[in-house]
Amino acid sequence: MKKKMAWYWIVLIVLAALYVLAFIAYMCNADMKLVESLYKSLMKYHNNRTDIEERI
Amino acid sequence: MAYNPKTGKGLGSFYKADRYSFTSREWRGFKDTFYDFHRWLYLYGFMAAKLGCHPILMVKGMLRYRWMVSYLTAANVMDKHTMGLRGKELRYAQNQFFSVLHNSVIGVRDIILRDKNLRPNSRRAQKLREKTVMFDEMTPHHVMFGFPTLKFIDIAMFTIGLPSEVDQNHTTYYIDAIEKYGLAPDVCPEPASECGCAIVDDYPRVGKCYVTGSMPCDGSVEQTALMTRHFSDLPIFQITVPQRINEPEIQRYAVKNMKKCIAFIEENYGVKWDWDAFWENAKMYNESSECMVQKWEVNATDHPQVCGAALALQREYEFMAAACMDKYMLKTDRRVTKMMLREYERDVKNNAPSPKYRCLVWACPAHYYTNFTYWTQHCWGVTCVNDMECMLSYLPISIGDKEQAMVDLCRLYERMMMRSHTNGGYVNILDELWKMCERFNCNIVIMYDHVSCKNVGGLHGLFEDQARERGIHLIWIPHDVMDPRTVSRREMREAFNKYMTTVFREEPLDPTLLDYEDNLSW
Repeated sequence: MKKKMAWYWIVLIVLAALYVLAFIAYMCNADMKLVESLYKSLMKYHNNRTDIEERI
Repeated sequence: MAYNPKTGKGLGSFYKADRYSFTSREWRGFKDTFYDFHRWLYLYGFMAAKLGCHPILMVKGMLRYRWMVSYLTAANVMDKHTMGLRGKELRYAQNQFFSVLHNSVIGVRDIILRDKNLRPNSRRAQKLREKTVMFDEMTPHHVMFGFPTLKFIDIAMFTIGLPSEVDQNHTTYYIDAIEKYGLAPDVCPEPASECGCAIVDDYPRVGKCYVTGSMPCDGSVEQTALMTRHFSDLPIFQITVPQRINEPEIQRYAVKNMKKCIAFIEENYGVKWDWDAFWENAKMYNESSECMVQKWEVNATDHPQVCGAALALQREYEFMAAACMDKYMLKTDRRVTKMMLREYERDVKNNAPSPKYRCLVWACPAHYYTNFTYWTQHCWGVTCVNDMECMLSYLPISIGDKEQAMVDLCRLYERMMMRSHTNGGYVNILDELWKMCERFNCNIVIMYDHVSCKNVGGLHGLFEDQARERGIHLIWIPHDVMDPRTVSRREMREAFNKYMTTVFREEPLDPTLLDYEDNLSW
């Protein structure tokens, strides 16, 4: 019968994997690249707004 | 040194012409990279804790206000200011800038919780607004020392001032809006964008009253006139400070004016001025000023520690946006001062090398290029030991003496950003510069030439003549404070490069920083 892995090992492995992923994201500047695409979409949205002309 | 002669890669390689963000983050060696990584994690954790619990309001805010989108790039602020830094310098900058972001994140949260535009029917928001005073930029927020039950929010700072330093293209839309409406294009872009923001109704409504001020400059007069029309449905108080601040006789007038402002707040909010709270906050201000003076003292030696934007921006926001009432900022002051004194003693003991060139930064800086002095340091080895932006009032408030404390309170307003130097008359901007050059042992001055500022522009010739007499290198860097389309970051660098190659006959420390395209980058 296979021996089950203790829960704390699973938590530790998940945390370690998250830590490594976060570090990769940090080094690649993935957070800011994601923000860049969000920023572009939001700017496009604001540029196409028609309610501002009405408010002016 | 971040430049690698073997690969030809340096800090300039992180910029791409068609990108807003950096291509990647820098490897600074194991210890510093992981230090920076953990600070990055902490920043996101903090933002998630403070703003993540209001996801709907955040989305509504992003869709309602254009300026709110610029706050998404908070982590980039840290990157652009810490790029190329190592060891103690990285730690100073991380601590200083994090305290600014800490204050801003809480400020943004306070705005979205109160805003009438985002929460028109919320009773809770209404209750919060009843206890909030809205301030204009360059106004005496320190008057709130005596009102512990009220909250203040500088709406111009959070919508225009700060985002323009976070994202260089932030204000162009607002400038275009007001110019389309008829404002002359040679007006300073700072008040112009504040007016543009009002025109497109992008100011949040977070308080019950609005306190504004007078500034002896054409743009600001226009801005105050337009803003008072924009908030015409609210009670407004315009505080007017003396135009000349060095003469002690004017303090009587200044105190009278400040007392009127206090009475206005008391009357509209039904509260009374609290001297006990005032003394507590005054003590906080005194301590933070003491920390600032200690930084200046150390920077005047051969081993300057907290230099460039880390020194200037933190004090600017601590004084101007937080009115020295932010406990986290004071905690950071204590921590950085302690760290700085320890490192200074170590440098003296080890006879550590001094900076290649020392410089002072003078006159109004470009909001869209706050990391310019880090660029001069990495590209040419010119270290900025002090900046006019942080030379705000540092004189202590007398504790216990009510009459004198009022005079001291007025002095804070008289010696805040723009007032003490650029709008304070030639004694404060011109004569003061030479004193500072002597005090900080500098023979280079990065002289910001704000092309739309009539006040400093009028003294251009006098600066040149007097600098020549004293043998001081005055490096004029043109800029248009909040409009990078008039003078781009690249053109600012070009002006500095020309001086360094022709006058100093210098070679750049990092050739990749000599010329690169960053018109889009935040």
